[in-house]
Amino acid sequence: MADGMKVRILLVSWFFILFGTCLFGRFLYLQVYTGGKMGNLSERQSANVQEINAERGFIYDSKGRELAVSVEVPSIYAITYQVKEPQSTAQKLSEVLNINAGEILKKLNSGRNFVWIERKAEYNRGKRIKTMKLPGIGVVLETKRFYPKGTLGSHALGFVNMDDKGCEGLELVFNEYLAGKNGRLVSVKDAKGRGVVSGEVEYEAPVNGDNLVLTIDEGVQSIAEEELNLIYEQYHAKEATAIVMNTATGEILALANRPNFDPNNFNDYPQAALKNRAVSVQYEPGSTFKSVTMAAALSERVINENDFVDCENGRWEVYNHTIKDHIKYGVLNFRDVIANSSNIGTAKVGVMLGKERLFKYARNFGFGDKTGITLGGELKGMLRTPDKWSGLSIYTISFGQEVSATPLQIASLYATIANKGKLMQPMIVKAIKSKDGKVVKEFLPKEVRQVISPEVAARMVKVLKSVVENGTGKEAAFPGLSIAGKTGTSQKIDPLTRKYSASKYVASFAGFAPAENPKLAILVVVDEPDKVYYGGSVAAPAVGKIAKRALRYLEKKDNYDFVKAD
Amino acid sequence: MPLIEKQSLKSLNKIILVVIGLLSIISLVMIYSATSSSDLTGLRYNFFLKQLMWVSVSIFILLFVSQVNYEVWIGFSPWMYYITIGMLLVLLLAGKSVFGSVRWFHFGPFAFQPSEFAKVVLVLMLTKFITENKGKIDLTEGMLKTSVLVGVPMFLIVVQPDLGTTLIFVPIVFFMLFISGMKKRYLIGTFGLLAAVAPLFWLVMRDYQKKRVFSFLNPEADPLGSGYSLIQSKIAIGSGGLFGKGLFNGTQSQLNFIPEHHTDFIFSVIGEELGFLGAIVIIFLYYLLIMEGIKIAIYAKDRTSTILATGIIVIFITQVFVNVGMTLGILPIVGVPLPFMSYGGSSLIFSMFLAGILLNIHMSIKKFSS
Repeated sequence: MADGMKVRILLVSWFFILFGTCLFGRFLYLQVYTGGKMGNLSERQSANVQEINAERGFIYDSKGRELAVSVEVPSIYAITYQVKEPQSTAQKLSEVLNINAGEILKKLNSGRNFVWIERKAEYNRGKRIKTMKLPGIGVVLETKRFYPKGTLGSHALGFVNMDDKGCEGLELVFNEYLAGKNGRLVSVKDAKGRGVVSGEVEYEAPVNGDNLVLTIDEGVQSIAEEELNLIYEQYHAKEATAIVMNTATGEILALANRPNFDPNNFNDYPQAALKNRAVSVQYEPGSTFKSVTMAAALSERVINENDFVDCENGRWEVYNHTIKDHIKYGVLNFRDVIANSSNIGTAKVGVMLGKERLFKYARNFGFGDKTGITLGGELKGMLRTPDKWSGLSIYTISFGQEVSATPLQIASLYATIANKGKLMQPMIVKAIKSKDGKVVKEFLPKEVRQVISPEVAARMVKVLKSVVENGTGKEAAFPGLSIAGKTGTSQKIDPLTRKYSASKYVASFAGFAPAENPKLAILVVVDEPDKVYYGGSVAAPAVGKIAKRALRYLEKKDNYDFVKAD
Repeated sequence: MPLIEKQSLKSLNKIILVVIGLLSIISLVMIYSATSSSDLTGLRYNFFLKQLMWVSVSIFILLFVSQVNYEVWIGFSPWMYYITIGMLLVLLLAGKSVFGSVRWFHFGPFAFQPSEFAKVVLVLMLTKFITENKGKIDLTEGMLKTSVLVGVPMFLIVVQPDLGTTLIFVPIVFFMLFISGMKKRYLIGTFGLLAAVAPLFWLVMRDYQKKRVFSFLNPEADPLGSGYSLIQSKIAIGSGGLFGKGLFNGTQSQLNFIPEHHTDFIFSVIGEELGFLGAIVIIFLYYLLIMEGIKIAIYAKDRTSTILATGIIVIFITQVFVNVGMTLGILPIVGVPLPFMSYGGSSLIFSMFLAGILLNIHMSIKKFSS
């Protein structure tokens, strides 16, 4: 054979090898590289998958009372190609379910393999349909979230959407545990969308979710909600928050906000009502923040409770700015500066401290950082580092301006003072338990740090007690109740003028009881009360009442018939 | 004298026989898998049984052809050529009314596709033409004659319309002329001219063919319409992954997501059910077949048999590449069967016929050299 021909044949075979390599590469790409994706595509178009909700875990209060439950409800479906006589089937279903037979027939003839006839139907109706044994008609039990106590504790609990997926609050944060694993109802369809009659309907049972045990006590929660409601309505306030904490452990016993909502029908409420103000709002704490200045001053020994401070008769000019007191005071000892909530007196102590030391204590109490509570949407508050402070900052921050905090941070501040200076991380979930009661995860009280010494803390308790005995917090006092705390009345900054508003205030009172042997730290914040705006008048009585009723309720250790209002 | 001597059977090329045997077995299994879920019954729809019959018949044909001197077929080729053209004309003029189709002659449950026959005839005819016109092919005159020779059946098939088979002719002619020693400038000139007039095809192309080209360029534009086959085939092959979903377990084919899955898209079923490994094994079998064919072409005893062997190899490889490339989505969809694998009697019989000629050429080398 001619050599030229041989060469040409070899050339041709090289060409063939190139072809082969192309095919090989393409196989490698399609089957190995994108194989998984293609597999999903193939399954998706051939499988008719219907999710069956797993039973969502329950949420209990600390004493095992149900706050959120799941109820089993029947859902009725049809595998249309297995239905023998659509006409009569629709008629029979219609009689039981009280749905128009025409509509059911329309669904059965829709051409889809799988249709829901009615989801989350009435229990007895589902049961009756099951006994009828209609070909192609099936009943599965689905679960539906139900909050038996309605609005109680709604902001902590949050809510779920139509598919039982957590959307807010603990329902969202712990969705992974609560949700469990959905089951599936799978039928196979061919390219024309027809069900494959011989194909079995595959049922994959759902795995139920775990339960949540909270630190919330339904009794304390009810008391806090009632008292908060009273003042919220009495003062036509814009918003309000109440927090009750166990001082020794940081456990939240009650957390309530106004406006609130019913998680069973959260859709009926405006967005603002869904907001968990306790952690998702930051405000200028005002005078309640003076405890930070006091803690720093006593710890650093810059002043003694009995040392005198000149309160300048209610007006003090610094940096072209006038610091004012609501009542004109002359020379007061430091105890009375706090008891009477003198801004001038506190500012002078702040100056003695200096910005670094004030900042350090504020920081150690947890300001400017999240507390780490397992609730969604927590804010950090605002505490700037000293290098960003203006000359005036040391004055104003001393009495709670130019800083902002969440209500929970303030409650935590007073819990720390009551807990002998030891800051505990605020917690709201005690444990996650499986359906059969096994502990999946346990949350133990967690010490963050010792902020001030027990000795300084004890001295502060005495000062804060005098606030209620003969200072601005007198209205928190009730017969038979020993309580300590601090009032706060902060002007709100007008968002338009960026100046302090003359008419909009945040009134608050933070404290703990019993003063000598604190058990509960309580905070009430009322945003924009009308008529009166002093924290001592608006919030202090509510704190006093919550303290008195909650202590009595806790001592009686009774079940749910908590002490009614006096 | 027996028709086939025992001695000459022994001297057949073992590799080609084994490869074709394996491909036939895999083909039967895959056709069985691809069509087992069909709810249509009767011999007309029992593709496995029909293919089993075709395999038996065509293996007999393979053995028979291997014993007949290939020169006999070359000698017959003008007759076959005229018969083919006659059949194509009959189909074109009366096919619709008599047979209900312009592509097939239907006989009861069976159908015969003359365009498959045309591929074989063309290779034989072209071999004869090139051999007889040695040294003349280069001339413009020879080139023109080749064009007419090839052009007539191509035209008759393209107007059926069967673009796939028509396009298969192009590389066959190109490679056979190339091997025969045609000067490159003529070859490039002619095929360059062909490429230049190719857009004119657009004018005679049917709407569905234009759509196929469009959908090849952008299958996602109409995923349920013209892009459907391409997308489904890619999904099928891709979802097979490394090891495949297993025989009878391919959802894409069993649930009819892939059209024509026992004929032109049989490789999608293979890709889905046998996976990457299965696909590569089958591609390797074709590789063995082609390489054996190239060896035969190189060592063939004369120019005629080299050209003929080359033509046969080119038919096989072009069909494999166009068919598999189509199922992989790297070539547009044209109706080209996968030799020895797709369901279809005509394709199988003529593939076996060509393989038989290849075996005979191989035997002639041995006789020649001994």
